[in-house]
Amino acid sequence: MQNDRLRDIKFICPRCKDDLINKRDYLVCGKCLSQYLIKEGIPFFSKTKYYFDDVSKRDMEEYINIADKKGWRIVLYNHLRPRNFYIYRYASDESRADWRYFLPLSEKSVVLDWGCGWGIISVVLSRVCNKVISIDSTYEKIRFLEVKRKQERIDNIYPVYGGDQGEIPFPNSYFDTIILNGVLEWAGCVQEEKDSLVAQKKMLRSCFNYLKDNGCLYIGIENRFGYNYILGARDHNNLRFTSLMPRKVANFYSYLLKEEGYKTLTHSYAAYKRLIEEVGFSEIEFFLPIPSYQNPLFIIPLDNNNVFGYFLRHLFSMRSKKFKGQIIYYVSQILLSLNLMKYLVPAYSIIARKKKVL
Amino acid sequence: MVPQLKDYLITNWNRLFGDKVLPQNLSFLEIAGTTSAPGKVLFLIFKDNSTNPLFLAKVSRNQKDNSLLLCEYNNLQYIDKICSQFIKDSIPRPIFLEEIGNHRVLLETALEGKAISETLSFRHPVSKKIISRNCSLSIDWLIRFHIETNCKEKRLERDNIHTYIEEPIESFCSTFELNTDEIKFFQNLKVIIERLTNRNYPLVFQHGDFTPSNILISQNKFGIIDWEFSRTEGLLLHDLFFFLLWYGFAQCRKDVHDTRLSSFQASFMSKNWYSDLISRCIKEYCKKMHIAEDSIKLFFILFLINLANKEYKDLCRDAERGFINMSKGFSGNGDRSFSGLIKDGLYVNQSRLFIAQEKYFLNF
Repeated sequence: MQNDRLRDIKFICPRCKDDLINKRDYLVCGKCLSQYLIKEGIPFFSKTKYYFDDVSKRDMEEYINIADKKGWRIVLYNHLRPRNFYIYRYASDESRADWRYFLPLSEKSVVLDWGCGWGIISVVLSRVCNKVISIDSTYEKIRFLEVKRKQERIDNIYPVYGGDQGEIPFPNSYFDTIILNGVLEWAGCVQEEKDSLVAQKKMLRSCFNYLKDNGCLYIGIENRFGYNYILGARDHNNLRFTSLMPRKVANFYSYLLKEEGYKTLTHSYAAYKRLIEEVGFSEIEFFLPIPSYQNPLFIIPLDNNNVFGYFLRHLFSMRSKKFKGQIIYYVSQILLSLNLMKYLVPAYSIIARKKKVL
Repeated sequence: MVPQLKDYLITNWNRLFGDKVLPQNLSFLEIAGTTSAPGKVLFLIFKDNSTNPLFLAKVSRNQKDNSLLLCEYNNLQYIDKICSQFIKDSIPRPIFLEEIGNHRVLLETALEGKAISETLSFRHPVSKKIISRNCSLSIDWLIRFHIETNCKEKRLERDNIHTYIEEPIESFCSTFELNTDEIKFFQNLKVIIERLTNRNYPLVFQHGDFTPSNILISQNKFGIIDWEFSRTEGLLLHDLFFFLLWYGFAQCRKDVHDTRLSSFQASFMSKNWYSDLISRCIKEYCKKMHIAEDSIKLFFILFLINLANKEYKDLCRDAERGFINMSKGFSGNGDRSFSGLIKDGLYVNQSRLFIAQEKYFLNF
């Protein structure tokens, strides 16, 4: 019965691109006869058994059991919060999706949350959209989202296990909006593709194809040359300065210290623009989320220096960090006057449109 | 929502703002407002290359609950009708409250200036002169506002004592587990309540969130923003106490969570230059509003328990949504369960501290 609701969604076969038929416990391709399991209401499309370890796998399995028996809130409040407030906030703070107001969402929108993680963004979007398909390549996260969805009776979220090959089992021109929030940089780790840049391009190209005409892509991601990295903040691989190095040097450095290559690529302002335009997007807008795209308190458009100047003069608070805050303030003023600010900010919220070709 | 709002403004520009030239472009700066349910999000709207915003758009985080937006819209319109130009120039002018992009959007004019809490940023040690001046300006404005808006002649009397005094106390006592001294304290309040009832104090137009971050100051202008918690009939002294409490917090330099209780104690229960300033401010307000000094303590505990009751309801709503933005309670008792947390907020602990140290309250 729970699998019947998946009939609301059009799935296609990742192999031959034909329609998949819902046979209760499987999605079956009418053409090549491939079968995709549906387990506990979740379709399985993943090839790798990737696990994103913000929380250990053992803990996550325990959390799912507790969520099933006692409720998802108990997991967050009594288990996750005391252990790690940051992850608890990441999993439950709805303001993480505050950038959504810049998207042209409506009650008819069909949205893909690619790399949904704990699913809080999907939950927020489900209140304003028609359907939210939440796809992640970590099964345990999708499982937790499905438990939460059932308990909250949210009927328009559809958790799917997959997305780890840069492609997803949906037809072209299916979505109004696609969300890649803190996801694109991990494409090289999740996909089988060895070259991370190729993996990212594949993902972006897929997004372009899956979007309807005039559809929007949202990307939340770090800036490779962000001043925080210049000052020594750790990269996604927990090493310092790797995003600033030439790629081959970063790769060698990563092998030296971590016995694995440098895969979590971030890019510069110009490189993001180029990458996104290459696959066909246009009307690309860049915003600065402060303090980060994961928990934005402010979102500032980067195409208008006057707005950023206003922020610095009136909204930037330096009380809690007296010396550091003053340094940031004065350096920011200088960079703004030289029109360099947008190249050195820590992260971007990027919105790109797929314009209809006439 | 923003693309739809942009289109709406451009399309209806001449109808809405006939006196202003149609812009080529509008830029939006998003500010995360309160996350506590229902919560809000704010957008400062800039026209073309202007260095200051023209408008402020507000949206409720919960599309099903726009009560706060409606409250702000209605109350700003009311103030605009009855107050002097001095007051009107210091508040935002409401433009519309419309359904746009699946959200109710309140659009109002943006005020100039910087929050007075931010004027402390560069000063170390904290400038007493600046704080005194800002206190004086804010309180002068508040007194004038309360006098000008006190047109309904509504008073605190036997008919409404239950709503304004007894009910909040009952709610506080039943929500939080009180110790013997606290129970005795509330029992002893009955005499003071009776005395207060006989004085027929007026009910005033309450801003409801009169904190230093909502008071803007620029060279020539003074502005008060964020009116969503305003009410036309509120208790005297509430706005003043709220301002003085939060101005005390604004002067702390360390981690916010750990210093708020000690800041409260220093401001209201100790002897120092800031508590002296607070005493003077309260006395001045009471003199102008004809409040007897022996009523101040009752108003203060009512102020605290009203905030504690509201804080508890907000935390319960947040818990329902799944996120309480508190890593630990304020009492420091180490109870980290969420049922313990929602009853361990800032204001209930301040209430308790006040009850325990009542005799030290500002020498009143």
